Amino acid sequence: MKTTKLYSMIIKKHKSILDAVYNYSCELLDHTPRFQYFTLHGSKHIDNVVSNIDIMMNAGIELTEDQAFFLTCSACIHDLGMVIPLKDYLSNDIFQGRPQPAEPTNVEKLIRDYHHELIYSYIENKFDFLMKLGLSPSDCSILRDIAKSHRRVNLSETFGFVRCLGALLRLADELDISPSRAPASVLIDHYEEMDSTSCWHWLKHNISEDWRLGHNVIVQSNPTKTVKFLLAVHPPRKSSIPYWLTQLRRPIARVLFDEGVSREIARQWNVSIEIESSQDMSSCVGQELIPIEQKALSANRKLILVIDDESRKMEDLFLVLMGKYHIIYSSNAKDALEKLAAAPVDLAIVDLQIGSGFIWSASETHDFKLTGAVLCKTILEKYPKTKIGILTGSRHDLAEAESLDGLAFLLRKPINPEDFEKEVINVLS
Amino acid sequence: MFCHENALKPSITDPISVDPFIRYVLNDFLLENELQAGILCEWNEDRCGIDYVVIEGFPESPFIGSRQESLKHFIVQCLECYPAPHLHSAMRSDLWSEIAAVHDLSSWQSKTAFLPVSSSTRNYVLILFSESTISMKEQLYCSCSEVVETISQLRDMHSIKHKLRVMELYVREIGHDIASSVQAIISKLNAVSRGYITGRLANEKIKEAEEEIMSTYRIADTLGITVDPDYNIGNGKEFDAREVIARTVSLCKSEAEERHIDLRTGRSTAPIFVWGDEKAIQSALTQYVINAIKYGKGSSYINIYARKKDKQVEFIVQDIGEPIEDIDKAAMWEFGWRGDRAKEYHVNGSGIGLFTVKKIVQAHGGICEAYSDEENKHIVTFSFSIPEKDIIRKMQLL
Repeated sequence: MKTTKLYSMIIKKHKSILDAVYNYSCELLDHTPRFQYFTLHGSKHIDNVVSNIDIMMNAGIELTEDQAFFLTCSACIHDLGMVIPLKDYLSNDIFQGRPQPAEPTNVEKLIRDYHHELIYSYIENKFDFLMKLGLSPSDCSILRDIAKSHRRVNLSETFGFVRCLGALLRLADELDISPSRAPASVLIDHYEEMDSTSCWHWLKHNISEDWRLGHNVIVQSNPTKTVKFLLAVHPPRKSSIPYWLTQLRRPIARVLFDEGVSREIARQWNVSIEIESSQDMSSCVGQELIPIEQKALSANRKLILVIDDESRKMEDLFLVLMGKYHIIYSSNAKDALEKLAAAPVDLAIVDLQIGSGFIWSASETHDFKLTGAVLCKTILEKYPKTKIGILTGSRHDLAEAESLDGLAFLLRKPINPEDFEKEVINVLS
Repeated sequence: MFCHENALKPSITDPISVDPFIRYVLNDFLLENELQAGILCEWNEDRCGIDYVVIEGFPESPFIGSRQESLKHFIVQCLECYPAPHLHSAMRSDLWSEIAAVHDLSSWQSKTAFLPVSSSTRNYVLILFSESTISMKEQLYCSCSEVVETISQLRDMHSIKHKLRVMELYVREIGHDIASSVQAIISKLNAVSRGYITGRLANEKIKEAEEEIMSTYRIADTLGITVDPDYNIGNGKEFDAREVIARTVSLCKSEAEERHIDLRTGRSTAPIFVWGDEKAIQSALTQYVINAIKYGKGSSYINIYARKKDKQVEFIVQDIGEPIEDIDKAAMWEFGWRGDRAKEYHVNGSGIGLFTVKKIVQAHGGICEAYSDEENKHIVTFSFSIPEKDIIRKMQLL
């Protein structure tokens, strides 16, 4: 942190406060045990977030000294909610009524979902400490609100520093997909004992490329100043590059465009932020990661890909099957093909009326009423080992789908869940 | 009515080239007038290349490809030079050469005439081929009006057929939606009854199943309004708009959660009373919210609120999504209209939702609006305003 331009512009009085907050946060985050295979949220992450802010500053975002100080302090404390003792929280809040209070995944979920709000606890508990450092009550309040804004908070309902610095912090946090947050040595040594979700996250970080100004962070000045982040990945197999690029881009794009961070940054600093996937800068390396990728994508179980635009409605149908198979979902044909290229799908269960993801036109898909049938044909050609079942609620003519050779089954919704389970088990046995 | 202004303004229509009836009419017309051949072109510049021609005396295949474009371009130019109605004199060698470029006409008599014809909403160009075109001028004028009349009748038939097609599509889509909902309901109940989900979570699942049933009921309820040609306010009464919003949010919550969309309400703490068919207004508002969920950006938010404005109550649904194109603004309220983006973003639809909203709102003496924010085009607002008081009933009494 101390080598950054951001740090260098902070005045001496503020530096002493920042150093104390930084050291305290690093110690707390680095030395408090929490969940075994969370990606690192300690000093490394803080350094990366500050470094990402620094990149944006070097690219043209101009901060005042006050802004730099509050933003850097907030970056230090933004994840402290991860290590706040939960003894004061009701078990109902934590376990949401589930009858297994010993189940750590519920606590993990609570912390993942609400750690930004738990910042309040830190500020309350350490209020005296912060005051002694020289922060006023209103400073503490601003710090708390900026840190809280690093996720979920509706930025348009916040004001002043909280709004613009919260936006910048949220982006810098989301951009930290650096390999340093998930050391390769730990991943390689321990992936077998990791759950598939942790394995997926660690691999995601491992195959991502660090941000470097002039390399994959490009600044353009004409007509308006634009900072373009070019995502590049290096997974063990070439065929999975598009999948990983999509997975990495999605959360950053969500923060930028859906949550209004891009708008806030443009409003405050007149700088446009863009995120793009770069196939050209991506490559496949590290054959030793193949089994890890396999586990991350399939949990080393038989893999079912459900392609349905109303996937949430389908989740309960697969509840029983989840115990035996690894089940992933796609809502359109493009996403499904990316997943098929990345993972060895054993059974693709396709709905007929799905979006194509802009890869096919209305005329190619009978006005999108038979996108699923076109997808089935593609899977049959490109992935002959993948079995295909159709499960559709369509009331349109299904002759084209029925005429497909090689379908494992063609079922219409609604179907009795037990009959459906038997059908799937039979196909995969 | 036939007027040259219309003839020069292409309108959007479906292709009619495969319609056997119009083919029959034209053939009859040609025989009656001892013409060798005719081409009836349905005109639509916006969809150039999709619509094509009814051909008599030519091979079955329509004019397609660049050569057709050249012919079309030529005829448009002619129409600009000689506004309709105009019977062009024979021996237009340049027209003939364009036609000849499309088809080998070496065995044909090279005498031609063409004239634009138009009905109230469609424009056609009738190209005739004859050995004695000049002497037939008067007859052609007369017969042409017959063709226009026939075309007008055909248009009405076409419109009815179109409506029936859309309605069939709608019913099929409802079948699809209900099948999906029933699947979700029985899967939830099955998981509970087999003991895979227990305790509080089981109660949540049962509640979700109940909501899904209500959602299915809403679909069927809306169908009633859509298909009833005499729909008007049946159960008018004063109600609080905030309660309608709250129920709408409750109904749409699970669909919003599926796309990680936050439904935001609560701008007014005071009641907002308005007169109308509460159930229908809720149905209209729900349609807006469902559309916003379907076509808005995932992981974003939707603002839903009502406000009083000039003795009207305005219901507003605002989301982050694709900007509304000017070209779509008028068309989107029409029966069966579906934009290309709509088809891609959400394939299960029939283009009836907004039509039904408009029908409900108009029955209340109100208006519907849709627009993108001027600063940020991605902020999309759909609203409708209805009179605060019971002016409709008062008007009926008067």
